[in-house]
Amino acid sequence: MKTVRKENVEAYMKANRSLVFGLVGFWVLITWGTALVSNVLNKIVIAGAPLGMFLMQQTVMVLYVAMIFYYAAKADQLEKQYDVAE
Amino acid sequence: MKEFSYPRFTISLIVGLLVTVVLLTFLEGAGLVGYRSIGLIFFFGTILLYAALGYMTSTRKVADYFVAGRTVPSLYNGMAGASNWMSAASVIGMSGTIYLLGFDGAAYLLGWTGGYVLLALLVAPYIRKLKAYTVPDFLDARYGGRYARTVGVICALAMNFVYLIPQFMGVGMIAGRFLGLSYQAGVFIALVSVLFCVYFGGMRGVTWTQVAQYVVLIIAFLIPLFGISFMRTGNPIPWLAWAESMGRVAAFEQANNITPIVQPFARMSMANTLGLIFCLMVGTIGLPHVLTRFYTVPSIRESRTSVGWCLLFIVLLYISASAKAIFVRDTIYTDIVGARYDQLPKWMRDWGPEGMKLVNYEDKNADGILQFGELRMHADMIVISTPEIAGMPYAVSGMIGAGGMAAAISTCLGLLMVLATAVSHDIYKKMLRPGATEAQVIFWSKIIIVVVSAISALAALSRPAIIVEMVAWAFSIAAATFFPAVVLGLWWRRTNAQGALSGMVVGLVVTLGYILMARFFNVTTGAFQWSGPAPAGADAFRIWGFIPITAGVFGVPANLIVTYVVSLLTPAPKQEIQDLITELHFPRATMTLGEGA
Repeated sequence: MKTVRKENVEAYMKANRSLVFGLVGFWVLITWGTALVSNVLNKIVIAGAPLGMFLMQQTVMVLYVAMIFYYAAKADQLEKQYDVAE
Repeated sequence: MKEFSYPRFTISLIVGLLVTVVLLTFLEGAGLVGYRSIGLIFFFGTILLYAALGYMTSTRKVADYFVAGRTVPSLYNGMAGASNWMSAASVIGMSGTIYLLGFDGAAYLLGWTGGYVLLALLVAPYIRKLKAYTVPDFLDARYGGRYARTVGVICALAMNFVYLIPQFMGVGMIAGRFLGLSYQAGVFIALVSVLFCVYFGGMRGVTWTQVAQYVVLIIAFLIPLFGISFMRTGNPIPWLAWAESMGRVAAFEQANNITPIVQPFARMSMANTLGLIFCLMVGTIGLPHVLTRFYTVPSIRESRTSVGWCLLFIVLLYISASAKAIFVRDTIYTDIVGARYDQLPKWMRDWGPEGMKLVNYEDKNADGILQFGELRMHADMIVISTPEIAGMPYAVSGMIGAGGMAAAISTCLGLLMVLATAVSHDIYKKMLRPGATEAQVIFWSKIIIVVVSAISALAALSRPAIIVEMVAWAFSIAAATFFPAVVLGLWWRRTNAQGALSGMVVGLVVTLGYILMARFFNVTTGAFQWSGPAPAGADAFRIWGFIPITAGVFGVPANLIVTYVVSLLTPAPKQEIQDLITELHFPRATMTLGEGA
């Protein structure tokens, strides 16, 4: 049975926490931030589609998916770095 | 089932579906099969496929039965999770919602996808580490004892039951429309096919079946979308061609003084749009059948990517649904509005007042020309009629029925598995008879599945309209009960049983209270109005204008505050519970703290 070094415990939890809560902040921003300013964004039209609509009904959802895979990759990296992987 | 592999299975299913469509098109062209037989072939063909899959992957081991032995690769677990999540309301109804609500429909798009981000970041890996089967399992481990488990089981049962009934209603409606059967017969068919699938399998069988159901529903949705995209813009890639159609729609609306569909908060107020996004997202985490899916992957690492795949497969349908709504609107503006009544296209007449009654048009000013104001479209019509609008063969339309069925049945399967687990595992095994054998637990779960689905199907027979509203409420209730208990429980060590339990109770009371007041209370008469439509306008009870489906806007903060305050006023959780939380945050299986490696 492998052990986890004690000094790694706090460091890993801190690193993981700042990663997670940073992403949660980004998630709040792209969701409600975009919604709140969509009136302004809609004035910018890209190839026929107003930007606010384009973000809210297509892009933000794709960003959600990208965020999860980014987190999965980062979490793997953290686990290796602090030697706490399964 | 050694000779089966997930990739081979998925690819052969896709090829099989496409070949069937082509074959049926030729047969139809040669006059060998009619519309009705095409509907029947897709409908019963896919149900037989699901049942066969359930049978071939059947299992006797308890871990296999409930969580598929934790061996499902994350990509396929994601597919299963996506069809588990999307019901007929997503597959058949989402485009229609966007068509009607325009920009504000994004509340549903974002609300039903964004919750998965929170799930991946805050919940899934930690719950997987705990090796719990259900949310009540987590509540028991974290808050210790029967109270937490009992409250959890009751909430889970209530939410699942409310959610299950409209699934049976959806199948009844689809069967009626595509097979020409009565609604009641459709509900009965749904009941039989769902029981067929679960009875032979369990979660392991359900996983295979749900993968197949995702493949069926996404193909049924995408093929007509490619068709209408090509027809409108000459570009078959809908997510690119979408913008061009949008431009035409905007120009038409400007020329005709129609409130633009891209205008934010024109059809739902800003507070309600933002509030609904919040309730649906946060509620996603609380819905037990969603969490359970992420117990089935082999490792903690895969639980994270599995949520990613799941959301990817959901988003694929949702971004397509919003595109489809725009293409249909473009078609209506360009081809239908301004057309002569005696020259309306055939699909319009088929779905119109003399046909399926999903479109209503009437020459109000008797000028022989259809004006925009003379047209009313039912939301479900958008998806169902797309193949005909795009001039595709009837075989493609027939497949949409199978797609809607796939979505509804897979959600039923997921819900029933959770119900069965909650009763047989959480109540029977953990509380009533701790010494029960595996065979007994599985036996009881099968009995429960039969009883619960029969009751739900019976309840669905009378088409209670209130049930559809209750599904929306279920999200607020889930958000206001489970979400704080799970998320604070994992991230704030100081949360104790007293705090979490009183938080759940207060959250539930506040949410239910607001729903009751906002939906049923008439301010003018000062009395509750239990039957008929909800009080509207000046009669309606509102705090800051929030409508009943956004009740979680009050319930979630109430729960969070109460949990926080009560936890601080009462003693901190025991040391072993605090150690458990630390342990959950570490992926390594058995963690022992050491001074050196």
